[in-house]
Amino acid sequence: MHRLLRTGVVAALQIALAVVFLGGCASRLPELPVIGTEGNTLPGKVVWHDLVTPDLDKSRAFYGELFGWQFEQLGDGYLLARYEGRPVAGLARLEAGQDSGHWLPLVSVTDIAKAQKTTRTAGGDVVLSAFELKGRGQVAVLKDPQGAAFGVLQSDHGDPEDRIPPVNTWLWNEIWTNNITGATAYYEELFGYGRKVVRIGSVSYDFFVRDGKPRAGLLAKPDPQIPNTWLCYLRVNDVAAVTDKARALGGSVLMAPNAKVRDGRVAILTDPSGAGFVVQEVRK
Amino acid sequence: MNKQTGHTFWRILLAAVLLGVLVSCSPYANVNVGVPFKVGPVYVNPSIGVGGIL
Repeated sequence: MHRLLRTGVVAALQIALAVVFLGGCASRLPELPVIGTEGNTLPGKVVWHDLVTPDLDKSRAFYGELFGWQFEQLGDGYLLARYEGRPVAGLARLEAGQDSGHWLPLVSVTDIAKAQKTTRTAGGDVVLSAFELKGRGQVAVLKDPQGAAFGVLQSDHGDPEDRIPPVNTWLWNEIWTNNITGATAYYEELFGYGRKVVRIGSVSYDFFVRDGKPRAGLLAKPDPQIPNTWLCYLRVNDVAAVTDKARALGGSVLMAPNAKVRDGRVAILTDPSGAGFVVQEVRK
Repeated sequence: MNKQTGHTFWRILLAAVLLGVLVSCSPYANVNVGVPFKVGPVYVNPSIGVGGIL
């Protein structure tokens, strides 16, 4: 009888804990500024980037110094980054026990429930089911069938217009995969992409398009140790200087500027939390 | 419920409430991407960086 009573009490406590924890959390999610233009829907476009990080303060210091981003605290676990007044990215705290940061590109969709269903059917994973983010719309985090993580956003306020990205803002996004055929089938169905190949000098480059606009590159990853991943590019004025500064700020240089790779205009870096990104100069 | 079990119940419930209040929330608090970003130091791919000039 005593054991039965104890089991009941424990169960009640677990339920109470879940209700209090989840309810409290949901009511305190941040409200974000609108980034889109009402009525402008661009499915398949990467419209936002969020960094998930175990250490908000370290990440804030790193990106603030490296790119001149300014930060605004929204809620107690989210920082909005602005560059020259315009929202450019979000930094979101991971809870304890998760020690590796990651940049998540958020891709515009018109039907987030369908995106989740397509992902499950294709053998991918819904890491975080759709939830409401005030000011933005419905957000979910997915993994493609090869395990690359990214977000999707069904906007309440339209998507941002295409424009030439200023320095210190996002330039481009790529998918690195060990299965080009599988990734092509999945992303074509998910985002209504078509695939295109161009030759630039001696280099052949594959990328996805939607409505005639380039939306994301598609690369066969060159090394089995690299995880299947989305990789996000930032535009910079001086890739060598940014690389040196990143190292001094506690980041790591995975690929330094190298004359053999795009004339030394590209570097692959990680921030102090281990989140990877690419910096690229665009010369006129 | 005896007296001791009742006390335990209220103590744990109070701790749960305090935890719910104190724990910070971010939209992605429990997202576990689970794929640490690693690229070998000898990685060279001439197509990298092309996308930014399409």
